[in-house]
Amino acid sequence: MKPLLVLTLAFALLPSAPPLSAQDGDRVVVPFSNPSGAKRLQCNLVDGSIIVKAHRGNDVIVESKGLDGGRKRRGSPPPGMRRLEPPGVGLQVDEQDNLIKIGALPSRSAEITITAPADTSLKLSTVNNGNITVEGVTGEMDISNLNGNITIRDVGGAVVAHTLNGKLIAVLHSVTAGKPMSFSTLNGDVDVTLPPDVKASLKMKSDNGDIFTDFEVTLKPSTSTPTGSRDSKGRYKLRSDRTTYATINGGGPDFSFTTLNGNLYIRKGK
Amino acid sequence: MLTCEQARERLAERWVDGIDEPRRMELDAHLAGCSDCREQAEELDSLWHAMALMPEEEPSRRMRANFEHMLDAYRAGGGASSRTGIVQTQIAPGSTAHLPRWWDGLAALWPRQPLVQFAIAGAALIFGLVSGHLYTARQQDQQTIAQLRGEMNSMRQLVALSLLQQQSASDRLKGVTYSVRMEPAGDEVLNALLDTLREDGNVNVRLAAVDALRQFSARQTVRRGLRDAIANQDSPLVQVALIDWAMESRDGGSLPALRQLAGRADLNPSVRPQLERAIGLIERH
Repeated sequence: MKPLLVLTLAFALLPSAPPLSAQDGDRVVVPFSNPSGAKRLQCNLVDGSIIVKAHRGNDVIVESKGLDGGRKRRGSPPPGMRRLEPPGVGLQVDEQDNLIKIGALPSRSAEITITAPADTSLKLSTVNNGNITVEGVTGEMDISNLNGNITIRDVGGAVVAHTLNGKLIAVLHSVTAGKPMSFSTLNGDVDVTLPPDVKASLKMKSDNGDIFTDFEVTLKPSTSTPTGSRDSKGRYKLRSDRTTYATINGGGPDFSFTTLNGNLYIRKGK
Repeated sequence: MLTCEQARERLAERWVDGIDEPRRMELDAHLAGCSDCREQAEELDSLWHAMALMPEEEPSRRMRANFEHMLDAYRAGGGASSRTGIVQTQIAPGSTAHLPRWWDGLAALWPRQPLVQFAIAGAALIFGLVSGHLYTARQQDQQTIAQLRGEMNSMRQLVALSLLQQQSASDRLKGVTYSVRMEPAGDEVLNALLDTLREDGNVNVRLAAVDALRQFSARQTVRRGLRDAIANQDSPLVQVALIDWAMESRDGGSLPALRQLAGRADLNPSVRPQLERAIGLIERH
């Protein structure tokens, strides 16, 4: 039986501790139970931002702070009374089987900053009022946001990312061979920089936007046969599945780029 | 001093033409000192003697009769070929021949030298063995290939199914790609893909599942699964992908689901234009 480490910090302060304002943060250091094994980290928020940075250590450092205006306040204090704010954001951190799970109270808007070993695989999500930023990690990344941006910088590995209404920016200095990737948004731009020597088969679709790249790509014919017809005014109409298929450096695993209303930018890294 | 090569040449020479005394002594001197050549010489000796023991073939009476008839026919001239002569003799009354004509034709071709006969028999035996072996080997190969192909397909299916269950979204994407590459895609894989479309927590994986499934939408179960998903998907991007499928395949059966989606209060405003265009197009179709 592996030890289960549960650190519930919200409301767990000693009665003698001085009251903290909502802006004061929590900081906790969590070790992986097997530092040499595959490390995984999950952080799911309902409200707020997530920032992940890499460091050389084996521990995960989680810092949280509450954000103004994140919490819905029900009415104003009755005459002669004042509101007591609970300290912190209700940060919750679990570790089991080398998987660290981080969460916060859904009623509070939080900003969680996580410093993790570089080879940690990440699963991050937030819904409202926040962006997700990842820097320097080289693992698998599964990232989703609803109303904010996703920014991934200086990373290696394999990325699967989706944001509905934000921008998706990813800069990869290396990729895991053979792993597919996928980037999608509904309304934002997708801007991905890949290593110049990457081997990939690209699948790109922007319904209402454009696709740009500075890679030497080899375009492939669409898998579904386009059907062409001339209408009554003599205009030629071509219908296909509107997905552009191409390969870089001879092709490789599938990299998908999808947006409804944004543009796609696929850049060649230095 | 002779080299081994020269000695071996001289060995053969000794049997075929005979060699003079000084050359024979040279050869003997070499054989005394070289065990390899000596062995070979002994083998050749025993072979040669074995051949000498084979009985001399006596011409059969029939052969003599044939020969004499042939000679007569030739002497009689008349433009007839020697071969015709043989044929005539065989049909002559009182002839000892009781075999069909073609047999003698063949028999005339058969060499009289026992060594050559042995060589031909040996060659035929080897040819039979080799071709028989090759034939069965090829049949076995084809069976093995078919079996391997079957095993590969079920292996791929297993891999695809297990990848679709992985925690890593990238692995699940790989599972979707694997499923599409399978020919023919089995029901189990298509059902797993439909499950992925319904239940996978990752929008990008569900999106890939729609892309994979639309290639199989000629199948009733897949078409039904895609239609069901239209009304039940929460992700606007996946909704758009499903609407695209319904519009491009002009799938009339999708209309109820599309109308149901249009009635949903939580429909993303970015999806509505596409949805209305799709409903319009399919209705006019």
